[in-house]
Amino acid sequence: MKIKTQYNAGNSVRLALILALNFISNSHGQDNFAQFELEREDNWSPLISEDLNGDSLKDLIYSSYSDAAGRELYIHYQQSDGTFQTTPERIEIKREIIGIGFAELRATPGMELVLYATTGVFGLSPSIEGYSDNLRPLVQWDLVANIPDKKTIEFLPPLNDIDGDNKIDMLIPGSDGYGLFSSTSIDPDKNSFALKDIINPVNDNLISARRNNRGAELDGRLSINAREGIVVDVAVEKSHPFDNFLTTWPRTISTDGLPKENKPLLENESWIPNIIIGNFDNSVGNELAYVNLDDEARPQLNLRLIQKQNSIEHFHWAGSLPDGGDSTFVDLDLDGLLDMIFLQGGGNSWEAKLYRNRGGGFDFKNPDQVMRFSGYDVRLNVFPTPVGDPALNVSYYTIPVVEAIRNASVTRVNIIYKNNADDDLLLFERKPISRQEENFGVENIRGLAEQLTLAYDVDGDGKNDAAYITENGTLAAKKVQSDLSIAREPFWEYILPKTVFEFKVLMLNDDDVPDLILRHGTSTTVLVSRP
Amino acid sequence: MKKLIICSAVALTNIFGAAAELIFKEQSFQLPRNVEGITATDFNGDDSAELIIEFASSLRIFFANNTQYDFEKNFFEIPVLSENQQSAAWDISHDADNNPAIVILNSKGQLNRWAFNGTRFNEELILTSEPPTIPRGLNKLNFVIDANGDKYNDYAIPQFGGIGIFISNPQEQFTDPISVNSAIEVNTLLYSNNPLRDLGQKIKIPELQLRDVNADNELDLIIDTKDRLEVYIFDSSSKTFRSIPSYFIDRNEIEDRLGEFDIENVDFSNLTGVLALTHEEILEDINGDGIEDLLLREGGKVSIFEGFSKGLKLDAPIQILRSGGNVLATFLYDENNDGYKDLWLWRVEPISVGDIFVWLALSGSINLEAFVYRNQNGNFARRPARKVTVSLKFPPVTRLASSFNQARESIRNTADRYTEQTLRINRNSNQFTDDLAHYTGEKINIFFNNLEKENRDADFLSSVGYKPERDSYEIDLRSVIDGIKNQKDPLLKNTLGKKADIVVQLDSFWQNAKIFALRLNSDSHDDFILLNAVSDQWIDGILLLSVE
Repeated sequence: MKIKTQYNAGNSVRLALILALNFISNSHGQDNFAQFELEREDNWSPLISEDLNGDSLKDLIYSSYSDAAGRELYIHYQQSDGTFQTTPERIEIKREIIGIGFAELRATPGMELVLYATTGVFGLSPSIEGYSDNLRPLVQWDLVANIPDKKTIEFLPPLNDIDGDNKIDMLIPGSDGYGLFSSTSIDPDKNSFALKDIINPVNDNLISARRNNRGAELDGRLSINAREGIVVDVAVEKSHPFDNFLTTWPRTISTDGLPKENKPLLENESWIPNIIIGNFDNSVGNELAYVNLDDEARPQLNLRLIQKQNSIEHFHWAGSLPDGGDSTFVDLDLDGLLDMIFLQGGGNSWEAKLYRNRGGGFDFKNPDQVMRFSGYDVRLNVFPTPVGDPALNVSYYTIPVVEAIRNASVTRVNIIYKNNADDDLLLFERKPISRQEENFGVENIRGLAEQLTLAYDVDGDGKNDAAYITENGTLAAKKVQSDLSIAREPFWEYILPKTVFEFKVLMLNDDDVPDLILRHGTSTTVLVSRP
Repeated sequence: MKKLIICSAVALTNIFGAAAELIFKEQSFQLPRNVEGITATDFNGDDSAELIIEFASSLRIFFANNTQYDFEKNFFEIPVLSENQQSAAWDISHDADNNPAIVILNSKGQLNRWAFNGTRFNEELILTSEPPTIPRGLNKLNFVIDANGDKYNDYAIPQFGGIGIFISNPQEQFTDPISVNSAIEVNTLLYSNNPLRDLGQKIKIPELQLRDVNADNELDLIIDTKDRLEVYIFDSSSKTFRSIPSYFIDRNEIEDRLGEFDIENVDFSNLTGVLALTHEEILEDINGDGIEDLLLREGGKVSIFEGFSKGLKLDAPIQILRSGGNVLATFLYDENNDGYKDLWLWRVEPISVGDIFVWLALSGSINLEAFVYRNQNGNFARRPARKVTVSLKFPPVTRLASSFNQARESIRNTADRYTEQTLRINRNSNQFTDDLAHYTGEKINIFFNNLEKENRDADFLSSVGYKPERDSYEIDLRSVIDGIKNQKDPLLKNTLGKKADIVVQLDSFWQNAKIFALRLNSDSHDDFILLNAVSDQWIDGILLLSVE
């Protein structure tokens, strides 16, 4: 692991500020970042940022493996000047641990490590060395996964208050459902958890469907080997719930319809439907959403209230989802409730159905808006306009034949739909208010590393900006103008000697100025704002 | 409680086939839907198979009696899991008299054998290991192996990140366990913001590779993981493997030598240039002494290291060949039928980002070239004797992808309608399974001597119609995809216009059944088991037992 730390104030690193008319009024200190470069064995593995020592500065956390030391948690503590300790603090990850999360579980500020093991969850303070007199059991629960990986660890998000009682809760996926545990005290030092509810998202229809699932897959294979030479094989693989159900011993009794001789030593899987925690109705706290199957074996969304103490409220809404597509929960109308985008299609033909949350339920038979797009890699994102209205940003790629032949290029399309204020039927206007097209060929291919996004407020002025990777592989941002068009020129560009392939805008300190994590091919640069 | 989990015999009827020589007796049965699997084996040496039914926490063995099974009474139960024992694994091994016995490995590492003495199963502890790595619940684990080819049971027990191998002698005494690495695949997901993504875990531990690499007629152990290729040569004197590998190839070291892939440095005018970072390690006999040698390819450099009876001479290669261009892969295949394997070195032409953008909209082709270096008594010729070119033609990539997706969707949508199944079956204990059973949902048509000998080894370069005298070939991906629509069951090839020799008419039409052929009773013919899709409570099944 190599680490380079430097400040970019002054001349140490080039921070190119592209002159634009609106630049000066918006720049306010964006040119001053502490820069930290981190080289890891696997640059693309998760990099977590949490404040572990309670100094209000987020530290960098990741897992590392070596034959000699096994799995370890590496922590680079952030220093007051915005840089990070070059030598990480290392914490052994015991072999029983499958996942690591975070939670404020002590009276002193800072996150404690939450260790998920096969049969329980434990707390561990990173500021105390070792496990003895440090590890404390939080709950007993049979986790849905029970085999730790030799080299890697799963990271989970920090624990939060789920039910709105200002105490930390835990929702843990288990072998027989999710365990919902609630903190029994608001005094963090006396924190203990009690099982409040068991939620099993698996219903009888799902069990039957899994058992009766007769799938068929089309597999394509191009390979070179000594037995067949070069082979192009496109084959239909049919599956049956009773595949591998019947075996014989010795295996030579077998004739056909039975598994082949070469069998793995062990093959096993255990899965449970995901539960999303979010605000789905107007009551205090969050609700739970999960998908199982209805009586006709179609996907069914379930919304469920968390049982609160001394409450007799019982809310469970269910509705059948359209078949075959990807669903995302997002607040489309900025009313605080999670709505849904359902994206269906394939190739260059896509249909987005938008469903508004109607106070704790959806009408999936009647989408609030249907939009069609011709392009590849279609993405929809809602962002707030400067006046606080929601707007919809859609981006995708097209491949015009003439451009592809003449200039060997593809086109990236970015369009914005304004909130529909005229009538209540549609969420967004029928026609986009702005459209931007860019061509990418060999000479500017670096700009294709990531799509332009309007999800971030790069300069911290309270208005979302259009952040993107330039054709030179640098990170830049353009203003979203009052008419919701994207400015022609960037107001900000950060130039590094290495190409940026992925970026994230987040808060790593408490100065309310956004910070950045920039992922390069083999290293990551962390930029922390400085006054 | 017993009534709930017991299987019930529903009917026993005779089904007469069209030919007089074979009759099938039909026995309907039901299994509770929580049954995890069935294993057939003969515990009591009466030539009829017993059925081991795997429940969530126990095993139940049903005995055959007068060519039928009593699913209500005639069984023996082995309880495995309990409140204090939440994970275990089972397999079948031999007892001291070479009869099958059930072995159960519990989460504490105790291995118990349940052997049948003619009237009952007796339990005995045969081994204790460190706590194994096994998933929660009762697992069928293929951990009984014969690591040294001596016909006695050895055991491969999954442990954290690897496998513990326990080798026994005829007295069933175990040597000290050997801990080896394993390419264990663990995929865990404990959090996702996608509501359609399930959370949980999938684990796969591959089978151990055992083969004689040093021509001493003893099986050796090959461990092939992403990090290392390790070979443990069997030590005939101590009758076990050494605790450390006899030799190994450190793949991380090779990758360090070749350099790390950095997209920053990719040449967009020759994307295939990244092949210079690829490597291959092939263990095969090159010089014809029966001992496996090592072919190591690092980019375009091929090094040959000689194997000897105790290992591999890794200090210096006996030959180094270098190739320019973008080397895609190498393999060894006897091209000129002289008994020595020749080196086939495959190269691909340079491909640029510009080519890819054009191929998105227009059809294109890529040439793959194989250079054949003849093996001259253990050394490869310095220059290739032959160049074989395969031109891979394809339609516009976007159209290819959408055609593939359409074909896949169509296949997925019709999956439920697949009722017909074909099986190779064995009548009269022929050497080859050359009879065909064609299940249609309502009947089974049996065609005698209908199938050619099964050839699981496809002919070399059969997908391009390879001929030794021809050097140029073409693969058209468009016609490959189009061919999917007309794909027919190859086993039905010889049934066109033929009448089945036996037709077994079934009482009811089952659209979702799965048919298995296996030997259950003492005659020499295959029998059938049909399992129908699960209802709320039961798995419906039919036994079809052959009667001469």
